[in-house]
Amino acid sequence: MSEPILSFAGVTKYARRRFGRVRVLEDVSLDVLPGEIVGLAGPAGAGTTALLLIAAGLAVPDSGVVRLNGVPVDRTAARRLVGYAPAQPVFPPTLTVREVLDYFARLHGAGMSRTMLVRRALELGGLAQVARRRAAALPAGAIARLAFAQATLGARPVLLLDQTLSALDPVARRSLVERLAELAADGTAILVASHELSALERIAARVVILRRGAVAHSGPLAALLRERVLEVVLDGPVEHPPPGFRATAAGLETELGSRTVEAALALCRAHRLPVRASQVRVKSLEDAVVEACD
Amino acid sequence: MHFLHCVLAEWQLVRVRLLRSRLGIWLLLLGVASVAVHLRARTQELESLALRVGMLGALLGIAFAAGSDADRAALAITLSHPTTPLAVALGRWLAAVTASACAMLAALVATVTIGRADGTDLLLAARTGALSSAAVAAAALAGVWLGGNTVAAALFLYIGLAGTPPVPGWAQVFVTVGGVAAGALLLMRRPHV
Repeated sequence: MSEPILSFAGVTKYARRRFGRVRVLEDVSLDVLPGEIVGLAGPAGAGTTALLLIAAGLAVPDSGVVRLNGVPVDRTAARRLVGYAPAQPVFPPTLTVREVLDYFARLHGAGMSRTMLVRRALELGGLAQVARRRAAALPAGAIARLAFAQATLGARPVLLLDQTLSALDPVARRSLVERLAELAADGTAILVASHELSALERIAARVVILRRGAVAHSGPLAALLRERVLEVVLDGPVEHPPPGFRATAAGLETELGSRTVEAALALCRAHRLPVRASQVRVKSLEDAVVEACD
Repeated sequence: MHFLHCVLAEWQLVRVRLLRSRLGIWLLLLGVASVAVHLRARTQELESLALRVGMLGALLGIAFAAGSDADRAALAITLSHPTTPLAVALGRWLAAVTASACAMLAALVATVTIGRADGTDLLLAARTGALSSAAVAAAALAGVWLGGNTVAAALFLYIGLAGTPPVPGWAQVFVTVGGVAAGALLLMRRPHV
């Protein structure tokens, strides 16, 4: 098994708020292997942005260590290893898309051909058509793609994406997902936070769900989505769902686990519930996040 | 060598800012107004003109190179690339000083040419103006990263109204080094200012 290229060990972070100190991350430990795509999910305020900021070297944890290929993230050497696309990217005003990429490409040293770096970044971000437009005047989707493009400059082996997928339209999202898969196939480790859970389901090999700054669930996506859920449509509302069931807009639902569908439906009938229809579906990442955060 | 590349990358933004933002127009207005006032006053002191244009130009340079909200917010992405806070601070400072020095030199040459003044003090005045410009830009850099362009505007009004008291050269060098270092330290502590 290969060594992790990005590792968080016991990371805790506090933030100062008007009403005092608030814990935004609590003892988070996580390893990302080269070529692996790890999805970060959780409700707003769960700590995903704080975790990515720390990994990018833009915030300092109060305790714990983050290393990139063994190098602590606060070293300049670590910046050569990690590309970061923030959730709300802001670029130097007055510059065009190409100039923004050229400006960042200059920071990657004289050893690399700057023109090639910029061309490759434009290609990856799908930005060739807007290369001459001012970055500040771009629509939200193009800004997210520019944030992604600048993060890929210098072929850095770790990529951190904060809500980049969430800002895109479905076509651009699908295209970016394919590019991420290609980058991962070339060995780039990708840690991607997104509220667009269906996109995470498509690309992430592993998912980490954060809840109030702590890891609520971490594991392979395949294992998480293997579970089956029984949805029961009822003729009327239900006041007291049977044990293990939860109320939904249409009726009830429950995770089947080792139970059979018949056994679960029998439980509904035993509670004299007016069952109209039922269907079995595979658990979604959204279910998992909602469950982990309940 | 890489450090110099990073400084250069920041400095090179000055051309775009001069042409595409209002920095160029403001510097032009500052230069024209200062020359007009100077000629009207019929004074031969080029040094006071150099000081005024240099210092106020430096404040304008810093306001447009580092002080806007967008510029301050964009620092987070810049610092996620392999550069250092010191390189960013030094590059932005250099860009502001370059812009103000150009305006100051143009104003001095225009004054000597139009006013048919004695040009022997021109180099001395330019040196004094450049030193003051460097010191003001460095002090303002740390200030705008703390408080945005409100700080630059306050300093602009203060220098514009209170005039330019004589400051010894060693103090200007001290303020320059201290200001750039403070700016870099601030970026190190709070990358998204």
